[in-house]
Amino acid sequence: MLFNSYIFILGFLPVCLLVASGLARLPNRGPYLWWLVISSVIFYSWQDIRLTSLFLVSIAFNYVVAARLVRPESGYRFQILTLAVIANLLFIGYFKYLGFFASSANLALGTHWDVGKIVLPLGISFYTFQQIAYLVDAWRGEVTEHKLVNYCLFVAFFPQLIAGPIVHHRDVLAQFSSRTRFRLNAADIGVGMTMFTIGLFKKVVLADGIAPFASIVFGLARDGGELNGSVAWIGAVAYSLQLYFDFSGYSDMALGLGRLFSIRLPINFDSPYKAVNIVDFWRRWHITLSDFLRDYLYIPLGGNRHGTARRYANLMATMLLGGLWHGAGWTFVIWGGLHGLFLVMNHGWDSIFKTRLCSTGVANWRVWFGRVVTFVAVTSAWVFFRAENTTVALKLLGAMYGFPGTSAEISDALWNKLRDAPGCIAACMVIVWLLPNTQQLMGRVRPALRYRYRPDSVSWEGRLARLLQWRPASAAAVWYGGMFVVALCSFSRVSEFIYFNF
Amino acid sequence: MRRRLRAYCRTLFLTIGAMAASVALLNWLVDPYDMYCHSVSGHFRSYKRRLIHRVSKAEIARRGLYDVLLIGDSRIAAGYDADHPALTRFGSVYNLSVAASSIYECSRMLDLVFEKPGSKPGLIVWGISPEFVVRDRSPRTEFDFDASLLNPRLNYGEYHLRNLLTLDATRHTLWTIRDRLMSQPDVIASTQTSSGGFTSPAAASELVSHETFVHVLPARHSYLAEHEPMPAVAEAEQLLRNCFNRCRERGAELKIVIPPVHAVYLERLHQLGLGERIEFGKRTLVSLATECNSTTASAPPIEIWDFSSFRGPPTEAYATTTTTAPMHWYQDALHFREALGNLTLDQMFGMANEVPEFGTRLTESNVEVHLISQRTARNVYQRKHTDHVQLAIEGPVTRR
Repeated sequence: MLFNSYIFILGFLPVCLLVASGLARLPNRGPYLWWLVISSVIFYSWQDIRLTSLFLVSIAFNYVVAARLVRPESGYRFQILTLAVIANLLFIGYFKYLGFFASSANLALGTHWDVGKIVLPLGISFYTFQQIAYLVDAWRGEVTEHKLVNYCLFVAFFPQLIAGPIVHHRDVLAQFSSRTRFRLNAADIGVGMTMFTIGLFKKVVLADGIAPFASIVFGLARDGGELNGSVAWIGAVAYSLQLYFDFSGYSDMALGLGRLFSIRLPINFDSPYKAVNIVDFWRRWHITLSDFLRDYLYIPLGGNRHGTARRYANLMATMLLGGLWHGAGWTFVIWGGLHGLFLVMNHGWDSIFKTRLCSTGVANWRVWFGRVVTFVAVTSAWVFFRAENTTVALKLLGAMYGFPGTSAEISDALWNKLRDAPGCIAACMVIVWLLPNTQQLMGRVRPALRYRYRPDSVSWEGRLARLLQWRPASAAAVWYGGMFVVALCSFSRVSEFIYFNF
Repeated sequence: MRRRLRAYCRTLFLTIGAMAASVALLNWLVDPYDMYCHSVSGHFRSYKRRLIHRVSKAEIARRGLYDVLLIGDSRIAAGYDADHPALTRFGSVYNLSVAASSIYECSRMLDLVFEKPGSKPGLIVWGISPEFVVRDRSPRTEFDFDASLLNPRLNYGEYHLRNLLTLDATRHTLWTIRDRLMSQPDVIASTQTSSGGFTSPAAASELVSHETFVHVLPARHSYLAEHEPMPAVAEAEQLLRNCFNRCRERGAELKIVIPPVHAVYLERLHQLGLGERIEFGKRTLVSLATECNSTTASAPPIEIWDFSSFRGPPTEAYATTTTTAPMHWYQDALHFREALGNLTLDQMFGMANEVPEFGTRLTESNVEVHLISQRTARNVYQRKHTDHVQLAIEGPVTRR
């Protein structure tokens, strides 16, 4: 089921919320939590019930293993952990990566290994890695309470199930266990609905609105059509914006939905295109994935504890695997590698010159210079993320950077299709670069876990955020109600979230 | 604070409810896709622009009782006049063609027609391009296929909500209201209500530019240029076989038309190496028709008419960059005008005053001779129209 569908908004969500509000009045919180688990399984099963059994098996297996790992007196804990992690990796490896490895092996060795068509279960990367993290923490002794209903809800809670944020058990288990949490109230419903509205608007109006421009250009590159620099840049920037509004819209909706049920989820986006360098970018983009990669990959690999060279190697390895996490294809590996390279360059610069080229708090022009350079680098890397294969990506990048032989004359028909693109892109750039983000707009009411934002009254950004910040006023209710209806009316066709594929 | 939050929630939900209900009510009253057919929406019928939409066409196919049906893609939609006497003599006529339709969609359209109790069309004219054998386009990718009754997996809740709430429906509702207030009936809609057919918009008759003519020529990288064996061919054959048999079982006379595309378009396909594929497509149609005709002797035989040609009207001088007058027979290289559509109907129904230079009824006995004659005609055409051949070789022009 998609958040941006009538069945979800007008059917599933009201029913789920109404039943939950009834169950929340009971003295025992068990029925409330079980209802959320059942709703989440229905939500997951809606599109393809065949994959639900796999999902449930994965939860059951990891729950049983974790039950053993949380007991310090159990024997063979490390061996059990190792086997369980391998089992999880084999699980995701079969469904997500077997085809990729087979085709790569066929290419390299000239073999003809055919694995057939394997259906990718929705959200497999998210729920598998979330559970691996839980197992590791259970082994480390960091899991204090291991209950079936809490565990099931931690993995399956529908707002974050399919495309994140990747929830750490520390973030939510305490909320599930709290005796004072579950009282559906006007504050949570008002804040949750507002955040959901902003996310929905971002997805169906902004992301889906700009998506056709990216599709036209990438389609042209795929089909061998002629490209020139301006067309290629339009396609690449349009995709950057589409991806941002799509994924951050989904995250806003997830946070808003969680809040509707009185559960706060962690922040996942913090205006990433306002980042002034690539290190800053990764602190703002898909924050929960960055945290996961740092805690469960980069630091176990050694982090920055074994010298500069090892640190850079660890960074590269982390980003390459991070790329592979996003998708089974060489384009994703290259995308991860490019980001690893950018990070190494960024850290290298900092260590050589002992100063950051661009960081917040420096002169305004340097901040903007940093923002533009970072945006250009990130946009160039997204080309690999979006392209079907490296040939298409290189063709588009060649046109973007004016490589010899890539400049071409473009037909009037193509220009007509892209006529509105510059205006749309400019409007979206104003939103991402100048306006406060969802968390900042909702900063007064702590919209996400461990997040609080107090705009300053000195900078123009702070003053603007102060002006636009959400308040529970009638005018705001009418404004966000209008936004919701506009978004509701924009469901012209089924449009999945990009991160559903990962 | 708590009181303000409650007031906020109340206002938020009231705003959402009131605005959504207003939009839905407005769209239901005007009914831009003609889905609900109530008395209020009837006042707007001749002002509705979207009666050519798949949603509308599929609704009409499900509801209406017609004696003659035209099905196919935009060529049939724009090029055939439902008021042509050859058709109207059989009774009421409706043109159910939709732009960029696939064989699958046409078969779904026939399903909807035959599922209606009492529906017994006596004549069906179906435009099929021989390119179908090289098409790999899935009908499910069509922009409005998913939301129409043509989609067998249609979610009826979403179907009604989309057509009551979406911006597309609302936009057309507002246009309809505006035209109603200004008393400007839509050209397409007014023709549809009077004759039950589709007529190309008046503006189309003014089309003259070279850019318009060439924009439909398949590019070297388009799906039409794929030379690999197409798995869709077997599926298309089976769909056609089922449709042919169904028409005969229901006693409907079926005439298949291979539309008269401009010779430049045909030559372009040949230049892309698709000549053999097109011939294969024609042979396939003939063999399918022969196979089906042999099963039920009492039903009217299926006729295959080939109007794709390198002779006659399809060789009309095309619009160049300096042309000032519209082409007589064509809107562009793919779409022909009603004048040419009428010629083909005249010939199919024996109403032609003189024997035209193009158009042949294909049978098992003459198909090979016809294909040889087409090849000869192409050779002559290539010699006489070197500018056409040059354009076909170069393909769509890039100018910027």
